[in-house]
Amino acid sequence: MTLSTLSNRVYFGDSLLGTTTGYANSDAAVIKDRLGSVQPSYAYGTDTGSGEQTSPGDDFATYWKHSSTGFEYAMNRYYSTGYGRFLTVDPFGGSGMAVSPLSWNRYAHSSGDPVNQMDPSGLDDIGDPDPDTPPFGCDLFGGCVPGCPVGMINAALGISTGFLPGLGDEDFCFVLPIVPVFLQGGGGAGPECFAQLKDRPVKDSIASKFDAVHTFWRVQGDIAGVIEQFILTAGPLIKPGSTIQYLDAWAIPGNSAGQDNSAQHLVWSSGLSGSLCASVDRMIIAAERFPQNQILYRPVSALGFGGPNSNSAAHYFAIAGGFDPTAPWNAYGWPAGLGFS
Amino acid sequence: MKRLPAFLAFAGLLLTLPAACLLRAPKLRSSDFEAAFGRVASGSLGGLGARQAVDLAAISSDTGRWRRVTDAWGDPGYIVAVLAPGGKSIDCLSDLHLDVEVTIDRRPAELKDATEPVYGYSSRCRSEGFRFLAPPGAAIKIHVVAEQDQAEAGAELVILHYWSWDVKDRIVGVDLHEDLMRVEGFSGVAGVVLLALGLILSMRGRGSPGAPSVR
Repeated sequence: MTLSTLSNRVYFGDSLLGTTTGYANSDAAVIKDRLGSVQPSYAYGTDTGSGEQTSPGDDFATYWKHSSTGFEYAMNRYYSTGYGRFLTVDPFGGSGMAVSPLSWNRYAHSSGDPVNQMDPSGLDDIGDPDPDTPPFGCDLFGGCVPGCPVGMINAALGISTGFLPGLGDEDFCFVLPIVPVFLQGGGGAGPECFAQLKDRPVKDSIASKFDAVHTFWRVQGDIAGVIEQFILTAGPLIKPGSTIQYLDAWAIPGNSAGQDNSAQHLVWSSGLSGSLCASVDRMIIAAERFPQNQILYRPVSALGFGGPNSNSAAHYFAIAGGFDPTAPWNAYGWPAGLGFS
Repeated sequence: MKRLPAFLAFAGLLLTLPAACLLRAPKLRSSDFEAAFGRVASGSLGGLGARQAVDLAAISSDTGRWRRVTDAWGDPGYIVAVLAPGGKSIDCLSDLHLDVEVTIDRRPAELKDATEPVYGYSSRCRSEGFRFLAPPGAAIKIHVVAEQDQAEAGAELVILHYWSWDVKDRIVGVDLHEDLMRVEGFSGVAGVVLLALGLILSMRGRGSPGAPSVR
């Protein structure tokens, strides 16, 4: 297969979703829409019957269709296009938030907004994958639903009844209930930030004998006026062309970097406040500007010391933000200095 | 004094046992990581004009080190990606308007979106690049044509092994094993010395009580 990108217009109903990127090979054009769907489908993945599946397995929104059951494999659970919902509850606790009632339904796909959001792993929504695509109709929570006037919400949201052909989208729209201000994150008087120190066991047979934990930060910062969450984490990295391991650190947008994700155990939290944004931004900058290939990496040792390692970096981020959390006792390497400040 | 040999032997045994438990040969050594995390190939993208092309060629990994890595951790496959200047983060390939063709042993490769982040790199992309599989020792060729000027100086087109972030704990595990081996190596040697000393003293001790019977 020779792969090249194509620009195509993709429609949902009568709405132009936007110009998308797809694939083409010499045999047949395989167009993926911006949600990663290969098959032409209605919003919740029901096959429109107007196209042929061009690649075995590839189907709706990056999922793979199970050949015998017809369910879509979403890595951590199965999704049913017929029901428009997952078959089991979301195993990822971090995807449910008190301030987002749409996330309270643990069976729902992409918080009831399958046109603008996707959930490739079956754990958490990924927002509009193509930010250049204009929204259609938006609810007060920022979710966009085709056909619903601004300020109204689609009845399918949260209950995932699926797409019902023949009924106009507006049949599902209703006015949003008034949500108490405190549930929306503190009054909306400006950006609010937080920093959470999290830990998880190091998944290794020897490390588990010492109950060694790896600590990292989940933060929400105000980046140039945009509220954005990051995972600040660190680990060993091999310098190209050598066998020497150095400690490196990263600020990874979103709330997941493999096992370093928002669902892990919370050690310490700063709380949510606009006054924290400057501190959190310093932490993010510290991670983004963390010098590569300079600090030799040392894991924990039998004597319980160790470092600099990922825990030393997490401590460094705390210092950068002006926070002083008490680290777990088995976060080996936490006190180790990095040789710079 | 009569108990000294037994004490030395016991202490030696205590020091030797943990080392003996760890002395099983590890599947991987940290020196193997170079094969796992080094760049397979790279080329500059900066200054590439519209409709200009860049080619990368590489032989897929097939060294002894690589085989040890894949025996222990499995084959992660490869990813074609663009590294931002500084090499710390990955640029979104879809934003760069590049046509990418990959052939393996002159046959077109099956490319898939690399939706999982690559270990060691920060990214804001829904798709980091294209992933593909290649058998060991295969000739990989990548032909990239720019649809528009690539203004970002210092950006690099790279082929990497497609490790997910979960590989971090595996690296730590290998490092930890080696770290402990150093400690246990010393204690093991000390244990063997003490054990031998205890045995020698014990044998001498047995010899000396025999004298009175001769007498």
